[in-house]
Amino acid sequence: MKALRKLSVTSAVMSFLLIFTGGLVRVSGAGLGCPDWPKCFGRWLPPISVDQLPPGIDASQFNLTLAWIEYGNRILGMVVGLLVLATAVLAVLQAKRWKQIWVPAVFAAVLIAYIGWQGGQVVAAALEPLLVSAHMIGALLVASLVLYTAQQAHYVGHPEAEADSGYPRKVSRWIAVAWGAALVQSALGTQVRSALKMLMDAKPLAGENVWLNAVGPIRHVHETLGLIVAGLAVHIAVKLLRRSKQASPLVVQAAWALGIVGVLQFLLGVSMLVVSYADILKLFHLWGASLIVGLLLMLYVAVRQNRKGEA
Amino acid sequence: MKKTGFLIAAGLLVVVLAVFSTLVLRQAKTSKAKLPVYGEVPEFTFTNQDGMPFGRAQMLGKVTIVDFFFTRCQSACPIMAREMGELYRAFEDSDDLQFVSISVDPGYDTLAVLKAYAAANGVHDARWQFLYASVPNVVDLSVNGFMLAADRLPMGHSTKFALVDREGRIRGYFNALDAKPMAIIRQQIKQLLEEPWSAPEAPAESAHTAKDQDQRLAFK
Repeated sequence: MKALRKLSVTSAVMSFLLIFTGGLVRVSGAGLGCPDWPKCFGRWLPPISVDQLPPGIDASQFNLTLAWIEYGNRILGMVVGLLVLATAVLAVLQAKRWKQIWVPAVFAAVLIAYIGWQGGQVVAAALEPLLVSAHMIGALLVASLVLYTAQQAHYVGHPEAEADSGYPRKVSRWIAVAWGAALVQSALGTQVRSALKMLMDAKPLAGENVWLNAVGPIRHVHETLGLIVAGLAVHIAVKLLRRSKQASPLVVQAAWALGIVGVLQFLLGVSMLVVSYADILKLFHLWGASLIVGLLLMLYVAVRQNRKGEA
Repeated sequence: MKKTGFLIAAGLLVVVLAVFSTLVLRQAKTSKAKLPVYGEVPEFTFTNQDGMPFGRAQMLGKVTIVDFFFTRCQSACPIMAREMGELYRAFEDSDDLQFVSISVDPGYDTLAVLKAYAAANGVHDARWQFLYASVPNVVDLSVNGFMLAADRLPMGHSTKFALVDREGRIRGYFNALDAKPMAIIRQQIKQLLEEPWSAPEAPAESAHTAKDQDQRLAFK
């Protein structure tokens, strides 16, 4: 069980890193860095110069940097896929008695295989916005499932972990609300991005301010809900850290992380509104949203575990 | 202690990711700014749909997208015209970008036919030119000038758009029938529009000719 715990934690951390590199592909504009899939310009390793392009391949779209950014994400995706698969196999072998471990692990393995294949469809469809959004949400689902697996494996190994935590009443409700809001917020974010993409295609020279103003009310809903989610994240973190009888180390760490990410997300949002929509801000904004979703899920599971122990 | 260790490790990871991604994003931006040079557009002068001369001289000073087509074509050309039309409308705010479609079927595509085709595609200004020339001249320009195939015309013309910079250099090829190249052409057009350029040796004359051409067309 110890091996499963370690492997599932590694898979979870790597899954969230994969979301980061996926975001890096998007904001750097490297999504079509490899115009084919699964190979890149007809090779299993991307070319390092135009001379290495196989005959018959259109050389005019070759950009070494973009090809390697895109392929880096594919390689990491492959590594995470194998880790998640290994987690699922180990879960089925070692945790047959605990449905709460092997079911999400197997589901995550099936889903990540699908997401990998779907990445090829994203390329084939020339980064159609809906498919890009589905790819990102799928990756977030995989990360959440593996995180859930890791946490359940932890509780099976340490059944007393949340026994005396005494979390404040109703906090699970707040977490559930914040988690739902964070998911809606992520979906809204993808919609804002789709709208921006269409506007940028329709009027490439208009400039950022014109595009942003033309996005419409959905942008303001996204900004307002973003404020609410960040506020809720900080509120939940403070509540858990201050009002719990004896929060478990896992919850203390997750609550601190949630509070800090909540504040940083707020600052990133304000910077993007006031200063600029710099690519690096967009990247961390996207990643921060996925971390909030993961941390809220983790805290919810911990609080429920505590309630189970009390019952 | 454990909590502090975790937060320090997480903070360090974020710093490493921030530095790494900043470097990657910078490199990506630099690489996108460096569009290759495939060759020079040679001297040529054809006739546009209004009967005015149009050639390399009218391309200098502007970013130009060039394609080869014919009006009777039912397979690739409607898609090429649609893609070109989308770009024509998307970049209507810029007089520094122009579109040039060269007919490979001059036996049928007379100036009147080209003019009607332009109107049918919503062309209302001088930013999109439709050119007429004899078959040997068109083949020569396509094959030797733009390095685009031209076999058994009119069917065997290329389906690629050639992107030409303000100095008359070919900087990119985009297959109009493939959504992937068409997804990145806008960004590369912007790149070329922003690219600093030095005027050719006789800039005043060339620019003047092009400007006169625009004005003549505008009054028609």
